[in-house]
Amino acid sequence: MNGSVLIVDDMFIGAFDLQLILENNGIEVLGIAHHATEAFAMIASRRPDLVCLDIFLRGSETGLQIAERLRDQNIPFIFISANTYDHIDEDVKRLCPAGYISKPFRDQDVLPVINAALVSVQKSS
Amino acid sequence: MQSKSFLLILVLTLHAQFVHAQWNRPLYNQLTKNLRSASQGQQKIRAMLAMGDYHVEQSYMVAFPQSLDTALSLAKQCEDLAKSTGSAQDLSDTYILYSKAYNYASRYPESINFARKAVDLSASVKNDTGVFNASRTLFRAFVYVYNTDSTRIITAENMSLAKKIGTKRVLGAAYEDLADNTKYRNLKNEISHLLDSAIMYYTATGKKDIQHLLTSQAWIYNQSGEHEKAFTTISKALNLAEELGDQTYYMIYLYDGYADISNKTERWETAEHYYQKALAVAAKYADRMVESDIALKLQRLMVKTGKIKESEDVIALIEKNYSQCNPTLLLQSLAAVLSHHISTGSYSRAEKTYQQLLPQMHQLNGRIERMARKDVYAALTQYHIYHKNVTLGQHYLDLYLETGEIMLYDKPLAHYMQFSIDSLNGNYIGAIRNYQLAGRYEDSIFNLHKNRQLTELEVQYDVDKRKKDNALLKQETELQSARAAKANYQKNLSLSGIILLSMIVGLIVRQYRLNQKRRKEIASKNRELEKLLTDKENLLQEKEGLLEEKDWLLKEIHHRVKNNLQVVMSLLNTQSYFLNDETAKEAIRNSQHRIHSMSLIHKKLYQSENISSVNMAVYFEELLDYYKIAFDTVNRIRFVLQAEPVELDPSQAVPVGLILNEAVNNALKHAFPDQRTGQITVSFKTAGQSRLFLSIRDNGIGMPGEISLSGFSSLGMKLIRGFSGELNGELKIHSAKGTEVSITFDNNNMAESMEEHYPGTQTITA
Repeated sequence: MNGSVLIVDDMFIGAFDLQLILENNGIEVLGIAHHATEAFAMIASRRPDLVCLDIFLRGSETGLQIAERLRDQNIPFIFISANTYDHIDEDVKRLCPAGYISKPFRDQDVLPVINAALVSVQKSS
Repeated sequence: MQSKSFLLILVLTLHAQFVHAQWNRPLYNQLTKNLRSASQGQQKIRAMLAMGDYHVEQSYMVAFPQSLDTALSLAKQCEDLAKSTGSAQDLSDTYILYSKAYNYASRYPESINFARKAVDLSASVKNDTGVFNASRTLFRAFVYVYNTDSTRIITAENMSLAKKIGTKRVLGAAYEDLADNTKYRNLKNEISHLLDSAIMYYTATGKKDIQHLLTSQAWIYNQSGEHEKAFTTISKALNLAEELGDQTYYMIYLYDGYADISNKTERWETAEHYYQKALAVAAKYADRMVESDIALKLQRLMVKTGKIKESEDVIALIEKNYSQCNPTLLLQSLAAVLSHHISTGSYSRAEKTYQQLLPQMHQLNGRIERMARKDVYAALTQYHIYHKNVTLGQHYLDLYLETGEIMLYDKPLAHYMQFSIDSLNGNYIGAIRNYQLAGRYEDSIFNLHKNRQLTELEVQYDVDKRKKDNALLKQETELQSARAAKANYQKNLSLSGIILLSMIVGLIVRQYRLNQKRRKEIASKNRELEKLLTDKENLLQEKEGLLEEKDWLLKEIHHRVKNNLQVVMSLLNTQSYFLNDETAKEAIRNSQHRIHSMSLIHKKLYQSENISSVNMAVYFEELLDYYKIAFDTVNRIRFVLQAEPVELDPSQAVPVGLILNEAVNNALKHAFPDQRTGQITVSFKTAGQSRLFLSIRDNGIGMPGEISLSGFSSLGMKLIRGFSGELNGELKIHSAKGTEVSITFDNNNMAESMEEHYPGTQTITA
């Protein structure tokens, strides 16, 4: 199962960890974007199958705002949050993420969610 | 004599009714004003006629002898004016004025002539009232010429006319004239009846000045022997006159009449008083004949009441007026004076008077008027007794007694005179008897007199008292009313004062209440404000407390994080003891270094004053000290730190710390192989505005070949690159004499929450 993933997270070490997990499992990581501008520049150069998006981002655009733009471009995304209960937040639910991962995570926490999301992406396309 | 004066009164009374206006200054002023303001024509004539009437009446005043001339001059002007306007009524009224003026001037033919012209003129224009008024004037003219036929006809015709006109005033006037005319014929009952009617009509019209009619009425009663009724009526007249302030000529007759009736009803003191008053008025109007008539009556009264010596002034007055008297009056006057002088022992003056009296008696040929006889015979008797002429004395005494008018009061004189004659004749028995009789009569009269006087005094006293009481009462009433007014005023004043005061008090109270309310409001607001202030202070204190607590809590958190990281390091250290593989041990050591570099940040955060930023100079110093010990390179590798004391946000301090950690690790591992000595220089400084420059440089062997950033495959380099990206920094690695890793990045030292910056803590604590 292959697929390309873009990670958007302003904390390097968390994103780097996720990148290593995904790459070790044959999932291509297009890169780590630290903010919205960087993220959409990367998307413009190459469209990812899935975006792993941290809800809390420093800068002008929050994760939720980026998510809205991603939905507009029909790019599936998964929320990553340090907050365990963000997934029941109304704003988060409204954006219909492809999945949800809470920090800290292990390989077995991340992979089923990412794989399921990638499968549904590939099915719909 | 009585009937004569009565007639005089009758005639004069007519004038009182005719003119009925009284002299006074206000009236004159009013008339003058009317005359001045009157425009041409009828208004002017009316004003002049009124002024003419006024002057006619004033002609009787001594002070206005020229009044009749003025009146006639006014009449002439009126006549001219009336003829020019052609008003028959005005001309008729002008003729009436002429008639009145001539009447008062005793020019009766002219008076009758003008009155007739007035009657004819009014009749020609069929003006009944005009005819009536003109006829009255004509009647008055005829009265003075004793034309009884004419007066009878005129009054009768006027009565018919008055009944036709039908107004009360006209009817009253008609009855008045008729009464006057009847008086002239001396029909007492009829006069009384007519006067009643006149008074009735006048009273009905509200006419008040009927005092002289009442005087006439009183005279009728007096003549009829109804003395008390007469007294009542004349008292009423007197009251009216006093009320109206009547000061006209006719007051002589009112006073005279009042005195006569008082005399008749034996009110002698009153009679004397009012004779004096009548004399005063007569003197004012210089009517000498009337003055003498009244003086005689006063003299007789004074003789009667034994005041012979006090009557000297009266006698002088009588003597002074001889020339002004008619024959009868002169005879009476001379007799009175003669009697007086003999009684008072003034024999020379008595002789002189006798010499004046004698020719008067001869002139009359013994036909002495009845009223004069008594006085004359008494005087002559007294004169002849003085001369001891018994025969003549007895002759006149007999004549005296034969007059048939010898009253009780005359008895003492009669008996004294008989006593004197009897004494002179030697008839002592008769003399003694007469003397005794005279004494007895005198006594009885004296007693009577005394009693009367007493009664009168009492009555007078009562009247005075009543008057005084009345005056007192009036005064008291006035005082009371004044007091009441004052009280009322005071009351009003007090009331207004009270009201004002209440208002002021009300206002003050209101103001006070308002003030109090305001004060309360202000106080409550102040309290609220104070409370708010206190609350604020409390809140601030609380906030400060909370902030302190927050700081304390944050420090506690950092402390715990540091401790937990130390626990992690210890765990890793423990793990390394159970490993034999050097690579694994190396990996654990590397992790320990990384964790320590993070732990140091938390230590700095809870140790320093500032919990939101890290002083990088201090941090670097401690970190390098750690490396010296941890890598055991003190002897061969020298660390040089060139750091500015820049404060960094913990979110940046951690990647910066990790970058330093990786870079130093790289240098220690690769730059100085084979136990070489060297130097690692760490520089940290500001580079332009809010840009920071970090460089880790070694003077080691450097990297082989060209260095490509992406070419780093080791974790260390990946981390450097990754954290550099996280810092949004500009990473440079180049190798010349040794290797230098440098990064330039923005200082984000802004107040941002720890949670956002550093969620990693959660990871650790979770």
